[in-house]
Amino acid sequence: MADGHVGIFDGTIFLVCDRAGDIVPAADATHGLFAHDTRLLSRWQLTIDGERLSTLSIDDIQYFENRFYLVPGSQDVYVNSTLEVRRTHRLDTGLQEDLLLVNNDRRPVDLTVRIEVDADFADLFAVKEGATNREGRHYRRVDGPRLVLGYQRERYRRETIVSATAPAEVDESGLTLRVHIEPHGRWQTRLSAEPDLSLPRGLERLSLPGRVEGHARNKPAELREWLDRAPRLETSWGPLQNTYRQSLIDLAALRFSPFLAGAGCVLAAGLPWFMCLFGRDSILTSLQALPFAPELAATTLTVLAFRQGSRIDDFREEEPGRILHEMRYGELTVFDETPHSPYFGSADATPLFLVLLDEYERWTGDAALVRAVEQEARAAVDWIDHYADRAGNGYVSYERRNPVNGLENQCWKDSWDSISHRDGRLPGFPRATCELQGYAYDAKVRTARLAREIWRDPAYADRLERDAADLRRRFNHDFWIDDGEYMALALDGDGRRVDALSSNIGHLLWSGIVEEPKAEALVRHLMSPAMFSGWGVRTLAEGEARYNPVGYHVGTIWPFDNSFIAWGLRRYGYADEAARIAAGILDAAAFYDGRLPEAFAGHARSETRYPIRYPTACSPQAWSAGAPLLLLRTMLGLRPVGDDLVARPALPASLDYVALLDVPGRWGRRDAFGRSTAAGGLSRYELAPQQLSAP
Amino acid sequence: MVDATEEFFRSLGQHRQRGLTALHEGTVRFDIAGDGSVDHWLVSIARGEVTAARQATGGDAVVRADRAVFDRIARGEAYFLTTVLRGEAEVEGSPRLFATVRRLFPSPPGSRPERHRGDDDG
Repeated sequence: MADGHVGIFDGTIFLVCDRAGDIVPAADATHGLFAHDTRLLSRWQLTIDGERLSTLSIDDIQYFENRFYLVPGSQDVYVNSTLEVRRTHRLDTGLQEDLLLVNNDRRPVDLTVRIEVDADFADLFAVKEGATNREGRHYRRVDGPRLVLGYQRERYRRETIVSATAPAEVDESGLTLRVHIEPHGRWQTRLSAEPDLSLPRGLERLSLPGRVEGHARNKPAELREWLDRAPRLETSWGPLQNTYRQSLIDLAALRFSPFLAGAGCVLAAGLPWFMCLFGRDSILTSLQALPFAPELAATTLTVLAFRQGSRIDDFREEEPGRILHEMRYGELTVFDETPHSPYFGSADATPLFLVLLDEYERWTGDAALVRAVEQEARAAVDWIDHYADRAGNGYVSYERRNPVNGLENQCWKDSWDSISHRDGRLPGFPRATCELQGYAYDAKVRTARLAREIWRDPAYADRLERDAADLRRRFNHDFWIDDGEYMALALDGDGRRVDALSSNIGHLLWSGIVEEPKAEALVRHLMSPAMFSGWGVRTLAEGEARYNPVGYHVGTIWPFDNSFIAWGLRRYGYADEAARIAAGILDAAAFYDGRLPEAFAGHARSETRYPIRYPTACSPQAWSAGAPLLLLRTMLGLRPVGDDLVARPALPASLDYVALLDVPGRWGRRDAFGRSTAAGGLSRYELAPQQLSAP
Repeated sequence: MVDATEEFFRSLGQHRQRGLTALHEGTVRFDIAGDGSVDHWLVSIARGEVTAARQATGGDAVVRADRAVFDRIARGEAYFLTTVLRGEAEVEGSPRLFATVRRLFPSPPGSRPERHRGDDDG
């Protein structure tokens, strides 16, 4: 979130306002109350006797609740006000604002309180582009004590209803309240802005991914329960405790319940641009969170299975067996101007769906779910073999079906310039990025286990294992760059290697597709100064033509990326290297008060001493919140083996002690302990306070 | 011109639908209004088999649309979910079934079955 913006959010509803609690319309601002990818309020400005308010302090009580302490008047004059103003914002189905005025004067006061409101009902995509799509008609209507703001396009209608609990004069641009307060008295009202989406019967739950039960929910109690259910962390290093707690809270905040989920929840991907269901993000975050909140994986798998592609649709890039990429509900989507209903343009969500299914069963023993989605899992394998093989060469590749608004790059690095040669040239399509092959390999190996042990289909298991072994053999030959000793970022449409050195090679270790003798060279690259900044592994190595330390996928450091790289390093036995990455990322988290952003800049740590912000990073971001969880798993070496939880801790040298108590799984609950093998611990290191590793 | 709605329901049970797994079981009634009358079909999905019968009652879920709107969905020209979200068709009942109903409709005209390199479009 940009400086000076304040946000609260809950699932897919969120509010962005200024430090006084106002939503101020401006071309460059993304202020607003948003739900279902639609801006429900584009103005919400409070004045008292015509004056705006100055902020004394802000108390972010909960992720869904903020309180602003204010006084009338502007900030550039000395303020000695006898009037105190408190605004408490709370998100529910809409926005509730408790407004409290306290008169600290010895005389009574008469005040005019005014709230100016407007709603442009812009699609979030239009807000992001700074454009507005205006095919429909805006209207305003005073309806007794309520102000109705509306937008209608054909039969599509969105309304926001504004009201106050105290008597108010309502006009078409806001509410005016006449207030009399006795000496040392107080006055309060509740202002509310509620969406009324005027939907046909039965559709409320269908179209609007809400959070369960609306008003009946007790959010503070729910949050406490969520935190209590998670394993308890004990550690000698305070900042890790803080990061862990923040991660759990952010994941709680990003939960929402799409209509197919029943009472379960999936995770929205990130604030503010990705507050919706993404296949890739929800799968990877559920994987990160498996030892902590395994129920997220179950709901994610179920919802994605339900919405699995079943037909060919070029516009939405749907194909039979494909797992969706992104689901939106804004006007542009509803009128088929954008393809997110849902959009399927992702080449990795489908194999990752299978990876999650297996990993979920290993942790939880929930074979029933594996049986329930057997056909979907087989369809996903068929998609990998058939539709994903765009080039007809036995590799997963992508080339968009939708040339207008489909994604060019359908891997996690989905910006236009993310896949390049060392010299900066962009390769032709279809593109087979290396990590996709790793995911496909892992998906087949894991699905083979499910086929053998749960579906009782050994012939299918054999076939999958043969396919996987063949893929591994070919991959290690075709992607290997001999003189550089690393895996190419991709193969282009003609099967030529795209030779940039990228963090994608770290995911290959996670997937296990790398032949043992080649792993050592990959690890050397990952930990080299060109790739490892001291905080983490850069998306693209320093020295590549397109390297830019503040380029979205071409030089920044992504905490989630690093968490999977660390997991991969441990898989191949590089525990110290994994611990170094964990230390760097967890150190960075401490600089962000425990909340890792989507990405931060790739500058060398020795140069900046601070993980420099990436300008438009989403925060919180689900898989960044998940990164510390996966790093904890990695440092403790947690692994389900049969019905047991095995721990093989390998902590950073300066981290004395980490324990996770009550880790849930098929074993019930188990504790895991880790101690540093280095004697002495923190006190022996001359580090800056609160850092695990040296610059 | 072929009546797309009639043709759609007539052909529903004739070829096996892809991906109608155990997650997708139940009945959906379609009430299609046109020329002053309403035609009813009850579509049942069980064990991957789809059957359609003219029946005016029942259904775990109900879809209501004008004939002109439904013709477009039945031809693949309009997309079921966004048609509903625009308010051009109504749905009622078990929300799970709408993800299922979506699968019954054909691909948009012109969508390419394969996208192998070197293949001709279409």
